[in-house]
This record gives sequence, C-alpha cells and structure tokens, in this order.
Amino acid sequence: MPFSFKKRSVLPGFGLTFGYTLFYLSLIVLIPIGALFLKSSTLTGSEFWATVTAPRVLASYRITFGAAFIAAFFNLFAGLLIAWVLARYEFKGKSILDALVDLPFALPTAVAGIALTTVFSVNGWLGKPLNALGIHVSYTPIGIIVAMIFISLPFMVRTVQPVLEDLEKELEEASATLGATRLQTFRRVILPVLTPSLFTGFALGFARALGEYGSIVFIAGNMPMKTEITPLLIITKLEQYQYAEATAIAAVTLIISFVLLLFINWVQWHNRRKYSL
Amino acid sequence: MSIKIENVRKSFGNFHALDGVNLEIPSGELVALLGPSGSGKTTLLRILAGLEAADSGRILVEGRDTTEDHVRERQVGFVFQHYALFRHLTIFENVAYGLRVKPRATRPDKDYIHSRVTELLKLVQLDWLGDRYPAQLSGGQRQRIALARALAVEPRLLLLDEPFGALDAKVRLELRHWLRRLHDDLGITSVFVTHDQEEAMEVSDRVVILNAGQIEQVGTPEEVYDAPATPFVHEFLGLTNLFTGHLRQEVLAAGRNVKVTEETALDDKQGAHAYVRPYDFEVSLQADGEDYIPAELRFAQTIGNIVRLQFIIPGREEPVRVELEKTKFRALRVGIGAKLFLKPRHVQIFVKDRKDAAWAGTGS
Repeated sequence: MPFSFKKRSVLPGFGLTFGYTLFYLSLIVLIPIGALFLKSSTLTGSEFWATVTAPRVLASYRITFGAAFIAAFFNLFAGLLIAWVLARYEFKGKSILDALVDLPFALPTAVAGIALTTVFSVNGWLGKPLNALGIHVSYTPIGIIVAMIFISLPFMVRTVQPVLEDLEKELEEASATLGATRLQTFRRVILPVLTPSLFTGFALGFARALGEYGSIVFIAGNMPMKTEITPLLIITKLEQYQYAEATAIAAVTLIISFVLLLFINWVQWHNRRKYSL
Repeated sequence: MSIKIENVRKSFGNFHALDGVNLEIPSGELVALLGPSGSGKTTLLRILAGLEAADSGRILVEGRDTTEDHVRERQVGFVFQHYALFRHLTIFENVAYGLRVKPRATRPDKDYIHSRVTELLKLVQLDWLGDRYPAQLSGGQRQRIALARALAVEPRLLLLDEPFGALDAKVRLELRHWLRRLHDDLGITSVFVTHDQEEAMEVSDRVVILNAGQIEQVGTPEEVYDAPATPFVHEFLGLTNLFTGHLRQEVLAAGRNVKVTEETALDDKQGAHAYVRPYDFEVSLQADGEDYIPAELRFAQTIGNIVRLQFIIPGREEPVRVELEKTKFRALRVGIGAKLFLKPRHVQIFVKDRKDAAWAGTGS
C-alpha cells in the first residue's frame, strides 16, 4: 500500500480545508512568530543571553509568570464555584449573572485597568478598607494578580460550565445509592470528570494572564524589579529602539509559554487515553 | 425485605406521575413494574430508592416508615438503564466503590475489599476484566458490572430501572435468565421496571401493571395474561383484535367459548368490548355454523413457523389480525383475495361499567 498522509474518510474536502488551515495558520501565527525569532537572531549568542538574563528581565519573568500562575490558580476555585452555580441551580437573574461572566472578554483592557485602579487605589471603595487592614493592592504585585484574575476568569467559567451541565445525573445518584456522602460524591465522582476541563481552563487563563498588558500597567505602578511585567519591558525596549532585545525577551516568553501549554496538553491527552480507549 | 407502599402520589407540575398507588411486595419476590412510558413505573422505583420524594403517602419497609430516609441510609441497590458506571475508575474500583465510601468505623480493610470484589466479579462472570475501564466493555458486560457494584454493599432490596433496555435482543434474553438465577441464589427482594411485557412475564414472580399513574392489576404472569382485570391490561400484554358492540343475553348463554369477566348488570343492550388474540382464530374454507365470520384475506407474511394474516370483514375498517401455524396455512391452499371464514375460539369480554370510568373509554 502506498504511503498516504490522509486516512480514508467519507468526509469530502480534506485537501481544500487542510490547505486553507495551513495557509491561514502560517499567515496569522507562524509567519509573525518566525519574524520574531528572525529579528532576535540578529543578536549574537552572548548578547542574546545577556539580554534575556539581565536582572531586570529576570525579575519581570518572575513577577509575570508568578502572578499569572497565582491568578489562574485562584480562578481554578472561583471559576469552578461560579460555573457550578450557573450550571446547577435555577434562580432569578441567572441570565444577567451569566452575561456578567463574559464582561472581561468584551471590556477594553485599558478600561478594566482604570476601573480596577480607581476601586483599589488608596482612597477607592475597596482600596480604603483594605489599606486600613494593611493590604496594599494598587502599585504592588497584588494589583497585578487582581488584574490577571479579572481578565482570565471567563476562560475558567466557560470551559467548566458546559462539562458540569452535561454531567450525568445518574452518576451522582449511583454514588448516593452506594452510600456515599455528598462530599465523597463530589470528590470521587464529579471532580475526576471535571479535571480535564479544569486543566484546560487553567491553561487558557494562565496564557491569557501572561499576555495581558492593558489593564495591568494602570494598577501595577511599573516599578522596575518590583512590579514591572514582561510585556511592559518589551514595550519599553521597543520605545528605546532596541528591537532585537525586545524580540529576544519576547521569544523567551513565547518558548516558556509554549512549553507550559504543551505540557498541559500532554497531561490531557494522557488522561483521555487512560479512561476511554 | 417486605415493602408496603401506601397511597403514594407524585406530580411533576401538572402531570400526575403517580396517582394514589398502593402495593405490597413480599420478601424474596422478583416483581416487575410494567407499563407504557409515562405510566409512572420509573417514578415509583425512584421513590422506593429515595431518589425521588413522594408528595404524599408512605413507604413501609418491614413495617418501618422509611419515607423520610436518605438514599444512602436505605440499603438499596440501584441499577440504571444506562449503567452509570464511573468511567474514570477501573471495573474493580467501580465495584469496590460502595465499600470504599463507607464511614471509617465500618469500612472494611483492604484484604476484605479485594476478596469481596473478586467474589462479586466472579458472580457476574467477569473476574478477568478487573483492570479495564468501562469504555472498553460491551453493553451487556457493563450492565453486569453495574449489578455487581450495586450488590457490593449487600442491599436488602435490589431495584433495576429498565436494566436491559439499552441492550440488543440476544444479550437481553441471556441477561434476563441470568438475573432470574441470580435473584434466586441471593434470596433478596428485587423490583425491576420494564415496558417489555415479554420480559416481565418471563422473569418475574409477580407483575404490577401501571397505567397513567395508577395500578391496573397485580398478579402472577399467568393471572394477568389469562384474566386481565381491564381492557388496558389485555391490550398491553400482546397483539389483539378489538370488537365493540352490544352484548346480548343469548350470546352469553350460548357462549361455550366466551369468557365473561364482568357479569354484573348485564342488561339487554350493554355496551361491551370483545377481544380476540390473533392465535385464537380458527380459519376454514366453509362455515360450519353460525359462529363463523366471512372474511377476505388481504395480507400474509411468514415469520419463522408462523404466518401472520390480515383479513377484511364487511362493515369493519380495521383489518382482523390472525396468526396461523405455517403447516395449517399451507393446508388451506389459498392466496391473497381468498374468501374464508373465521371463528373465534376464545373471546375476552369487558362490559362497559358506568361506575368504573377508568376503562369505559378504552378501545377504538
């Protein structure tokens, strides 16, 4: 049998659609990213290394990846709770609450940034009581986390919600007839079914938080070494016409993100293979 | 474990799923709840399990009121139509689930769980599948695992909701017999829901026939088939031919073959439903008496050893369905369009009783 790239299928149009997919992905994703790597390769190896390991750059990685991780982790719980309420209960005003979840998607991020800064500033509605408790949000890493939580929340809710809605009621009933308490049913039956979607939601939210710029720059204060995020550092380099340095930092961010997403996809694939062959 | 259901009612909005049901299930019996969809049979089963709460009425288990008990305290085994196996757990862990979630004080140790699960997997003849996941099993295997899982906690009552409904015909037949043997071996009380009258007749000790939220009849398979209490029961238990008309005294007097289930208040022109099963017709070339009905053969179809015939009778729109053995039909040497004579061997008559509106409007 001759080698065939495509498996036999009754669905027509593989050639056309696959070609279009490749063309489109190249145009929109691969070519710009290729250009990025090309530009960063104008630096010599040692220059590249010096740029991406400069203390200020390393500090920005720490704050960006750290804050994105904490935000995504926080949303793992908050998002699951909101998805749970929306998927499992009927109440008045549910559709309004449902629409509210998508607001961070639609809002220009600068608007979100200004709104958060106003609310969390020293004299803001939330900033004032928090300040009294000794918690400073704006112009600190906490502010960055808050902004990231805000913009990545919908990813978590929207990935978990449909899975919760599709969850067979019989599984919980079976668990109850076998003598399990509600908590045991949640931990042993519901949570394992949700895990893949929780992973996906976490990955999407994390990726979104990593790339966020607009809302964070307002609330972070942007102090080098303390509250300066990587995307801002890249902009700063660009404004100083250090294009190669900017793309070098961008390339490193990109590679780290890609590896993380790949890892999460691998975990997903592994789980799927295990449970339903 | 004997069960007494007292005047149980349940509505979903305007729909009365159960409309005052009373039933007693003696210990050790295998009982079938039989009825068409929407008759309330599944609702009754779910109320027994505690998965649904009755609007009113009581459930007594060995004399004790369990109406308010939580599902997990009821010690019932429940088997779902679509198995409801935990797909992220192996077959072994699925069966072990009920033992693992027991409160710490009564939770058996690892060795016991292992031997108990192995024993159950042997009981359902699938002990070689312990390491697999549910997705790797066939439908019949999954349902047997679901049963093993339900039995792991040693329920006093086993409830099965259309347990074979999602399986193909051959597997269904096998599992039916297997369930019957298992029930006898274990000596527990079992209730199963089905809409398949053949399944109910074949497996159960007693059949409970439900219609529109009420019990139509309770009895052994033989009783309900030979002496149906209502036209609904007769119609539900197999193909039949309905003749409507008025009952005359002389028919009753002459009715050697006529069975009358309602003898009260037969006046001269009582409205009545008469049913004849397809296999209860004699087909002949000539009329040997006045009981014979002239009929024209319209349709014939051979299925195995049986020939299904449809006859047209003057003055009747519905064709009359008749079943004959193939040899008998061949002996007649006739084809479509032949003029023949039908004689009912056995007629089941229901008289319209004004007091009992429940079946007064039945029939076409």
